[in-house]
Amino acid sequence: MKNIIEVKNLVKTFKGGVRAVDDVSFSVQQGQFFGFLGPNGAGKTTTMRVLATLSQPTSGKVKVNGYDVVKEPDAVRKSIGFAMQSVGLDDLATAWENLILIGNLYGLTVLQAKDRARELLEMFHLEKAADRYVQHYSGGMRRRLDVATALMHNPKILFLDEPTEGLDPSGRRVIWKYLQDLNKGGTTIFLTTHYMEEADYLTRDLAIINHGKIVVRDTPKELKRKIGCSFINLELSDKDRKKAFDLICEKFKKLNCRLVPGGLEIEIAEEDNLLPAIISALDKVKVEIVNFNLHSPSLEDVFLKYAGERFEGEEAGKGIDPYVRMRQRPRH
Amino acid sequence: MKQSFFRTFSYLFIRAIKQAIRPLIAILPSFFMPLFFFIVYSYAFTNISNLPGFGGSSYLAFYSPVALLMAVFFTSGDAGFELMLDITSGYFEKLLLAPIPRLAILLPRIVAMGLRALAQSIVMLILLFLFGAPLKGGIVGILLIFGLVIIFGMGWSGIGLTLAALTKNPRVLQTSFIFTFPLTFITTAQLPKELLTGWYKVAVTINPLTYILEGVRGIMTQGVDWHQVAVSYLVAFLILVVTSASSIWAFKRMVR
Repeated sequence: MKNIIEVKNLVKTFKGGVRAVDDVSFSVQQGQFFGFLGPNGAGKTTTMRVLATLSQPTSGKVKVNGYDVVKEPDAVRKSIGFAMQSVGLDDLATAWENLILIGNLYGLTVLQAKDRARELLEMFHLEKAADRYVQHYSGGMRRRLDVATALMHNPKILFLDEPTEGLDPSGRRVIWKYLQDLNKGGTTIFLTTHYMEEADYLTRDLAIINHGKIVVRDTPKELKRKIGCSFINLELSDKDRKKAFDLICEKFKKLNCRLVPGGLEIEIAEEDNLLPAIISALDKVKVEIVNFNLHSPSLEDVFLKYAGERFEGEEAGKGIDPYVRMRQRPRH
Repeated sequence: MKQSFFRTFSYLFIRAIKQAIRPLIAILPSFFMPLFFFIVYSYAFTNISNLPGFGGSSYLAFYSPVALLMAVFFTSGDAGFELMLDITSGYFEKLLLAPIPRLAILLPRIVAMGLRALAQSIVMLILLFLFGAPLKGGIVGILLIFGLVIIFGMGWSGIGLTLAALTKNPRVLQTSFIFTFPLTFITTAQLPKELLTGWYKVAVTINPLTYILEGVRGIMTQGVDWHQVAVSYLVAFLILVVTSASSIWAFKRMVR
C-alpha cells in the first residue's frame, strides 16, 4: 500500500523561537486509520495545520496525496477534508446552505452539490434540520455537520482534530460509526484526540508526539503489549490501606505497589499470576478487600508512559520516570 | 487545480449578501440613527437656515444628504464585523482550506457592501422624500447619487476589513468606530463651509467625506453640477483605491 502522507524532517518554529514541531518524520499508508496523539501543546495541531496547508513549514518536506504542501497547496486542499478542533460553520446559514457552498467552492456543480448534501444530511441524521439556521443547532449537530462539510468533495484523506470533543457518549458513538464506515470505504483518516478509548477503538496505527517529537509509533495493540505489565487495583477501607501497603511491600518486594485514593494499585509482570497470593496474604492479616480488579494496560497507560510528564510540571517531576509519576496520580 | 476566480467570487458574493441581511431586524438600526438625527436636527435648527450661506434652502433639505450618507456609513462598517465573525467562528479557516483564490474570499465582501449601500440609499431616499427632502437633480441626479454611494460604500468598508484582518480582534474593531465616526461630523454636515472658521474649517476642507457629502447635497438641493459631481466621484474613487489596497495588503498578510 502506498504512502498517502509523507513527512520528512518537518520543523515548525513560531515567532519568539518556539519550536512546536521538531524534526518530525513519518508516513501514513493509504486507507489507514491513523491516530496522532499527544498532550496539549505537543505539536499535534501544528503538524495537522501544516499537512492541511493552513500553516507553512519552517523546514522539511511534506507531501499529501503525492503533492507538496508548499508548492502545490491547491492540489493538497482538493485531496483533503479537515474537521478542525473548533467547529467552523456559517451560523447564519442553514445546514443545506453550508454544505452546498462548500461543495461549490470545491468545484462541484450545483446539482452535484445538492446530491452530495442530501446524501450527507441523511448519513449524519440531519435531514430534518437541514433548513434550520445552524445557530440553533445543538453541539452534537454542529459537530456532525462540520464533519459532513469536510466530506462534501469526497476527500481521499480526512483530518480530524478532536472531532468528538464535548460530545456525550452516544453522540461520540454515532461519529465513530460514520468514521469507521468511511474508512472501510477507502478514506484515509488522520485523527487526533484526547479520548484514549476513542483512539483505541478506531485507529489501527498510532503515533504519540511530545515536545514536538514523535516518541513512539506502532499499532495500539503492540503499544499496549510493550507496556509489559498489568495492574491490580484493590479497594480498601481507610484503616486497612496502610496496613495492606506495608504487608505487600514486605512480602512481595519485587512488586511496585502504590497507595491511591480508596486503596492500592499494584503493578505486576504479565507472566506473574500473583493475584490469588496477594488476596490470600491480605486475608490472613484480616484486611477486608471491598473490591478488586485486574486490568491489562490501556492506551491511556501507553499515553501516560510516553507523554504523561507534561501534566506534572518540569521541576516537580525531575528524576522520576514519567510513567511512574503519572501512575501515582489519584484516579477517580 | 484552483477554482476559477469568478465562480468563487459569485458564490461568496451571494453568501456575503445573505450574511448582510440575516437577521433582517439587524438592518433597522442603520436606518434608525440617521433618521433620528435627521428629524431632530431638521426641527431643532430650522431657523439656522436663515443665516447667510445657506442659499435659501431649508435645514431639512440641507441635512437630508447627511442622513443618507450616515446610513451608508453605518452599514459599511459591518464589513469588518462580518469578516471578524468568520475569523472568530473558525469559518474563515474553512474557506482557506478550499482550493480557491484567496482574494475571492475578500473582494466579494467589498462589492457586496456596494450593493448594500445602494439598497440602503434607495430606502433612505424614499423615506427622506416622504419627509419632504428635495430631489432637484431628477432621475439623472438619483442615478448619480446611487453610483456615488456604491463607490463610497465599498471604499468605506475597506477600513473595517483592513482593521479586522490586521488585528483579528473584535474589541479593537469596535473601538475603531470611535475614531472613524467623528469624521462624519468634521464635515459640512451641520453648517455650510462659509460659516465655518479656523482649524475646524481646515479640518473640514481636508476631510474627504466633506466632498462626498457636498456631492450628494448639491445633487439633492441644487441639481446636477457636473464639476461638483466629478470632484465627489474622484474623492470616492480615491477612498476606494486606498482602502481596497490596504485591505488586500492586510488580508494577504493574514493568510500568507
